[in-house]
Amino acid sequence: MSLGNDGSVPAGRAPLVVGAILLGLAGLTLFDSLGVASGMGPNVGPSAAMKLIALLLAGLGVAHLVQALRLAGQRQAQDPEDKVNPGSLAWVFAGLVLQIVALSIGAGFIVSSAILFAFTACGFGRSLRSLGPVYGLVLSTAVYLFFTKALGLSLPMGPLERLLG
Amino acid sequence: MESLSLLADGIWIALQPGNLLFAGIGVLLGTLVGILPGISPSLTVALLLPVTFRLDPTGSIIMFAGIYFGGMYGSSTTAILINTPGEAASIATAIEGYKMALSGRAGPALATAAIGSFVAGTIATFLLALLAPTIVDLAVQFGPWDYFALMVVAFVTVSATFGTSVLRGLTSLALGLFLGLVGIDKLTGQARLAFGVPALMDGISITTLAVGLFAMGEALYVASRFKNVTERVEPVSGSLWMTKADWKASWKAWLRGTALGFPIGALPAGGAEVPTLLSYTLERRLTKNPEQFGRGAIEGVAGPEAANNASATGTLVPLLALGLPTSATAAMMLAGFQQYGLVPGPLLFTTNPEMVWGLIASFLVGNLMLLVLNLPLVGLWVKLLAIPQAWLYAGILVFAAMGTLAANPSVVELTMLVVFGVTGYLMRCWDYPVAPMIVGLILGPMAESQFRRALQVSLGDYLVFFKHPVSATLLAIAVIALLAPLLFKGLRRFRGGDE
Repeated sequence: MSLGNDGSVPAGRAPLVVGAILLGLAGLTLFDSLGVASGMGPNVGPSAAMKLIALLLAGLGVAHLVQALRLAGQRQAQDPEDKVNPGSLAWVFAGLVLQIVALSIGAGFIVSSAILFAFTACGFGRSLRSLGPVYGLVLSTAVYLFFTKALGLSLPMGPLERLLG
Repeated sequence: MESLSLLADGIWIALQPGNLLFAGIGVLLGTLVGILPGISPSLTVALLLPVTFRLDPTGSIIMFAGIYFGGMYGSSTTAILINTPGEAASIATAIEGYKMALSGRAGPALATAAIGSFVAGTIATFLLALLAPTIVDLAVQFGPWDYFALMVVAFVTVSATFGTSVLRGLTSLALGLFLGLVGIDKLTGQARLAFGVPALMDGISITTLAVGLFAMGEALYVASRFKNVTERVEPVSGSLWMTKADWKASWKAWLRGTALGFPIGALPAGGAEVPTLLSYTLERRLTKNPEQFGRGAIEGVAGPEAANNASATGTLVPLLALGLPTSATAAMMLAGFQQYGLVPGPLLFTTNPEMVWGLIASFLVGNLMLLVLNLPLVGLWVKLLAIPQAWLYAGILVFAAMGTLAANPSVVELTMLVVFGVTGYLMRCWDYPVAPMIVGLILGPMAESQFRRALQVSLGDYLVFFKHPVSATLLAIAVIALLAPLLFKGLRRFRGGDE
């Protein structure tokens, strides 16, 4: 976040980003609809809704860009209470990404969830050398056992899960 | 009174020991999760959905109802004790409730919230039982054009009419409609926006979207605002019981809140936020002790809490009778139905009457249980509020991931969950409502198929939507509802309650 000296942010930035995303999605939808057959005779085919929604997204995207232009150059005061803590955010996000990575290399539910738990706790001020990882392992093992043994659901298996049978 | 005898049958079903147990577990689990700061009732339902995966449909839907009401009660407890409303509908409760807690009157505040919810929930359930069959009778005669028009009304009211900004509401809705396109078209079998990814062929799961937007979005948001200060929990001191004066101030507020909440909830307008704030404003105007408002007036808790519960029950009218979810929680209930292949709507009343009426009756049972279980257990619930944020949000994320993996054990699904989480975080930062997105995801494909069916019947005549009186009227209402907030900025006055 590029904060000004007075802690303000450019007022037009959010609508600019959202407008760009909406236009991108509109383009994507329109592009994909080209590969979908349109209806025959009186029937409306599956591509009609895609075009309609592409139009809606594009219209909203333009509206956002207009708003961004109108706000361009202005700065919006930011509540100091509302200040972003990038470190915490990064820890939690890293936890989420690492969980996905751990699962895709077959580490199983317990280990990958324990990683997510420990990293999130770290984002909230409990360092990795605290009890976070231990609590994470205990919780995810308990969750795994309860939902697979008691409720009969299946969760991703890894070496640890196979050990538990 | 046919519906009352059906309701009596339903009560018989709900009182079966097994179902009673499900309702009880639901209420306890719902309160347990709902009381955690920052967790809304709809998120409670979404997080606890996996628990009901393997139960029989009736039992699990009944448990759902319990979870829902428990979650709402938990949310108000948090609003009163730590001024952290888990959802927009609890904001009004937090205003006076927290002040009451500060002045040592947390007990009566929690009591009036619980009893008010019970009173409102009970009245609203009877209204639901009376109203739903009437609407079902009407709905049986509805053509696809009428359904389509009805969904358009729901789109507009949910996203534009009651939000803070028409543009942001519509944007959220459009994102939901976009996600609704993903997957195989049911009529022609063609894949849309799936890009050859097998996991996308089945479409986007409502639960994944809801858990991503609510749970992950919330966790990321709280993390991004983390300041390493601990929240203060107001100790529940003094008597838990309401004094005579409290009762006197509360009972009219409960009834007024119910009268406001139920109709607004039953309209396809979505959300309990409007009736709760209206109720707060109304109580403030009518009170005999205006000096108490802002310092902990019990009417300011009683009215909005009743309105909240009545409106939640009200949203079940369009959900059960028409299959139309108009709030995030109703959407989660629909997801619960769908996991058993059940489609709420007029048909369900004829194909599964025992289930529908068992569910309606279980609202009565659930509300009673809430009262019996929760007031005595207040001390225990309060302890939950003391869980440090670190363990709380870490645990929430693990549960969110678990729910998604249990429903669909694939890395792609988990990646989608994280993408939706980031989306939810950005929407939260930039003040976009998330409920329209969820409603759009569910109703978009439904509206599309009704639209196509209507055109098939009319042999491609687009005017079919204006030739039938019901659909023409509904579409006109939709246009008015879309333009009204732009024309009457004065409507905003109702939302502030701060004059």
